[in-house]
Amino acid sequence: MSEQLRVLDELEKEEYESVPVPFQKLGFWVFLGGEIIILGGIVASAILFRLSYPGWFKSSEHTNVVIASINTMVLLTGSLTAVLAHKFATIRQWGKVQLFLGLTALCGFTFIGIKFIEYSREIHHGFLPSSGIFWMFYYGITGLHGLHVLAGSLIILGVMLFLRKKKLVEAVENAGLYWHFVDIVWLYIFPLFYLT
Amino acid sequence: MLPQDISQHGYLVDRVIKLSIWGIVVVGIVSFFIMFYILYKFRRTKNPFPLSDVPSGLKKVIFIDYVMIIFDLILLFMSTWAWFFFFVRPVEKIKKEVQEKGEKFVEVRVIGRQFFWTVEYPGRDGVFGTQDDFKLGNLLVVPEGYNVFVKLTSGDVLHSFFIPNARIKYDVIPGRETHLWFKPAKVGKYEIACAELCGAMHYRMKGYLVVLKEQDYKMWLDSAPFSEISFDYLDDDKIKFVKGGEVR
Amino acid sequence: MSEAVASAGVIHHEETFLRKYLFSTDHKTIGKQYLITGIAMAILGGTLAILFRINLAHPGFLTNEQYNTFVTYHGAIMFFWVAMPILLGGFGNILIPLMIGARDMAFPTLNMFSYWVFFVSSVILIISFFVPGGAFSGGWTVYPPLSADPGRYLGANLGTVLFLLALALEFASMLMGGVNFITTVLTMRAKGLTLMRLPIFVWMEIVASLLFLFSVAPLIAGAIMLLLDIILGTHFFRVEAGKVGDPVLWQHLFWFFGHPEVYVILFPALGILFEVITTYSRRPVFSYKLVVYATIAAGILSFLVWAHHQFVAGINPLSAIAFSITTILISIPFSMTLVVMGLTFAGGSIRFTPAMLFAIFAFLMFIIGGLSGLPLGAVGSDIYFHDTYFVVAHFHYTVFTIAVLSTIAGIYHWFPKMFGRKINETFGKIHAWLTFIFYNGFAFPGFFLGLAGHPRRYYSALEFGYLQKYQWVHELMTVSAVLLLTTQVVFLFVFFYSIFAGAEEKSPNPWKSTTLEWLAPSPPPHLNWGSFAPVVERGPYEYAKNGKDIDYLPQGKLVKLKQPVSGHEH
Repeated sequence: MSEQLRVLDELEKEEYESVPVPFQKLGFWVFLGGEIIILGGIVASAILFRLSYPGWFKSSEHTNVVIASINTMVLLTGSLTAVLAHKFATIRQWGKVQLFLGLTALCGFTFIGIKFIEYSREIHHGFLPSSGIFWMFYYGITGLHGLHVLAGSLIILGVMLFLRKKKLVEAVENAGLYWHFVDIVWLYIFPLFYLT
Repeated sequence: MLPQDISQHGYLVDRVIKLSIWGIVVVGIVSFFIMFYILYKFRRTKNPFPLSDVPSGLKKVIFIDYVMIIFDLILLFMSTWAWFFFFVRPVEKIKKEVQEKGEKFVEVRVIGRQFFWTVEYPGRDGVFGTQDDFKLGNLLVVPEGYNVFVKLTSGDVLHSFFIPNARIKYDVIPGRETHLWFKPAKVGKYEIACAELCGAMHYRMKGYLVVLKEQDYKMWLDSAPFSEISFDYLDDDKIKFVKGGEVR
Repeated sequence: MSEAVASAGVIHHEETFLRKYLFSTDHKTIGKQYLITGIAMAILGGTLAILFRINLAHPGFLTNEQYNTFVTYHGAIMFFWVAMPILLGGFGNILIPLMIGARDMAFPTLNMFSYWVFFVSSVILIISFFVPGGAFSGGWTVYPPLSADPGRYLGANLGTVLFLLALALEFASMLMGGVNFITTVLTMRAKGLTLMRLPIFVWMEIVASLLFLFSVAPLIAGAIMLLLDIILGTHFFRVEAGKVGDPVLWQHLFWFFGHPEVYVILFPALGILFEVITTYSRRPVFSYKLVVYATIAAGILSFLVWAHHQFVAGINPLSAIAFSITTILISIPFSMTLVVMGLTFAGGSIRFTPAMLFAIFAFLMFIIGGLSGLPLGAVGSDIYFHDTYFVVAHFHYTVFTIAVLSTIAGIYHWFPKMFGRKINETFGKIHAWLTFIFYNGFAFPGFFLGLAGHPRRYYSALEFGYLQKYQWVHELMTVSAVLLLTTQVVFLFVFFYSIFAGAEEKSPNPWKSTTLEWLAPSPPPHLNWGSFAPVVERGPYEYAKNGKDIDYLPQGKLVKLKQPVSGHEH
């Protein structure tokens, strides 16, 4: 809320009729709900195409499981550091919070760096988004996911800056929540494109 | 208002149209009259203080909901019947039925493109892919009383094959084959319109359905596609088929 | 009941012009910004319509490409840049915090941001109109393959990309707004304001926001796929030898969104109608609970009807029957809501103010619109009516009447609250009657053209023999449309004039309405309630109390805060 609203609230202790969820968390979950459905749309389309397109499995042999597995570990590490950041935020050790948030963002950027290498390899081998149905979904979905990882990393950086002004546990919690969401999506993408 | 229905089974669709239109007209007029009554009776000059409850007589207006439900059920039944008849039954099944009943049929293939319809005929032998196949532009010639099976596809974007006089319509999709079926029952020349926005000349993508008497159709088929035969009953000014099949 | 005016001890702080009017986080200012931009886009969309209607009356006035472009932009603008910003961004932002007794939205900065994203989307849309290659001209429904290969089929590659980009930004803006609305209403209501005491308008905005949130997602996915098709040459929807995409998939993704979308627009407008009708007939909503439940039911059902736009588009014919059933079914909660609305007038003491006139006209026209959906939802008759003018008449009778007429009713109703002035009542009544007459003159003949089998999006009716004889109908429709737009332009002049020089209305509650927003001063200051806090004591529509001097009980009252709020004045 804006500064004035908080001041008024604290002064007058106005009581709101409210559902028993803090409003920042509620807002964030509403936003996540929308994102989940967007993803559902694309993934459902991917599954539909996969079921009716026999060439899928042949194309998917060309993706590199090793690189993707490394990236999976990177994301999971980032989730771990995000959880740790939140834990330290609840006991108000802000120094450690900044440390672990920084590590999380680092994981994010590492993921993207590795992704660049991966894409370059594949493009070098001649696999473009227009190369076929598998490739269009591959680049489309992993590309979008990558953009979300980037966004997540930037959000983490933003929270790190914001914490200098104001020590808000919810900010750390929500940033971590976004990271976990991006992580979980990857856990669907990984088998869909790499393990088949 | 509806154009002339020349299809043997078009009445199935017309029934649904008339039922739905008359039904909503009646409900609409009744609702309007009730509202005019309410607005008149309870205007401020006549009724300066609002009543603490709605008069029980008026509360009975809720019956409109029940009327709607019953009307909806009847409408659904009739509409599903028409739809089932034309589009749900698989084409092969309809063909089998038609052959078993001893009825005659013709088949054509229509390809929609920007901005014309190509009609492919199997020729005298009735089989596609043989020597006597031919194509005409924007012209679908069929014999009266025969079942007409039309296979539809698109050569570029989405179009929709619409014959208002036959109460039949279906989209044409690139990469897929759709179909429709009807039985013309009246000779004459009728228009075919495109009913899916397909570009700048969507409004001019006009074809003609020409229904000929059976013996005239055979005569035309024998000399197609280079016919120059005219038939009086097609129009007042004697339509001629010319080379390539454009109707003038 | 106290009509205490909360003007003492308001918090003020020095604000630059930029901060106060342009980059404000105050929900009322943001709401007005949405309103103004929406009105500007409405003029643009309406002018496009007039131009192509002139062409329909006299083919040759425009080129056929211009015609298709104008039709496309008219549809897209009206849905996304007029109806949604005005009904959700405008009315929603202005009224929700006031109606629930809050001081602002839960996320005011996000709110401001959402408006500016919307503004940028409008600018990009307008730019897309003028880029080399031309604007997109494939219908607001953007069906591929026409739209997936716009360079080849329409010559408009850049225009299409920008169009989709503008659309994406508009969605992002509305999503942000939706998150704000839902969170605010769930967590910031005044003391005593339980969910079942909310004004119907607030319920409607919440359901609409939820509907939009859950329905827009597949379309965003589809739009991304379409952009990939256009820019990278993928084959989600394009069909080329050996690589077959599925154009019908786009239709599914679009209409899965498209159908709930029309309810996103409809519900807030119905909400406005309920607020207006209860106030000017001095009666409560006939059955509050029925409306709330019917609305939620219709909202859920709206996700199950989408393929009624695709009956003859290549879907499984058996599924078409299923969709026809759900479509007919969804008319039932709506007919219930409409019966409740009609009975809300009954027993009342109806005052025919301009707002009430517009509400009555909206209600009556919407009955026609809703009923005309039945011949379309019945799959058997839709074989004939699909893509004809019957559809055009149906959606104008639903969307236009509900979006435009309710909006104008709402403007007349809340104008004194927002600006502290009144719009001349005599003018308002004339405005209402003229709009009603010209609107029907333009839209009703569409039903007859549809019965005649006149397809949609036709540059001219003169190419077909079976349509030529209806050319006079086109001329009638065009004349009515021109007169309709002229009336609205005159109204806009009066509207803006009245903001600055209309008759002053100092009383905060000139219409003697019950809901909380009428407790605030006119216009409400920043942070709305000053040193007072609203407390709710009863339901939202306690009218018809049978008092001779006062016939209503306001929903709440203002309670002075324990600590006076001090601050320097503006």
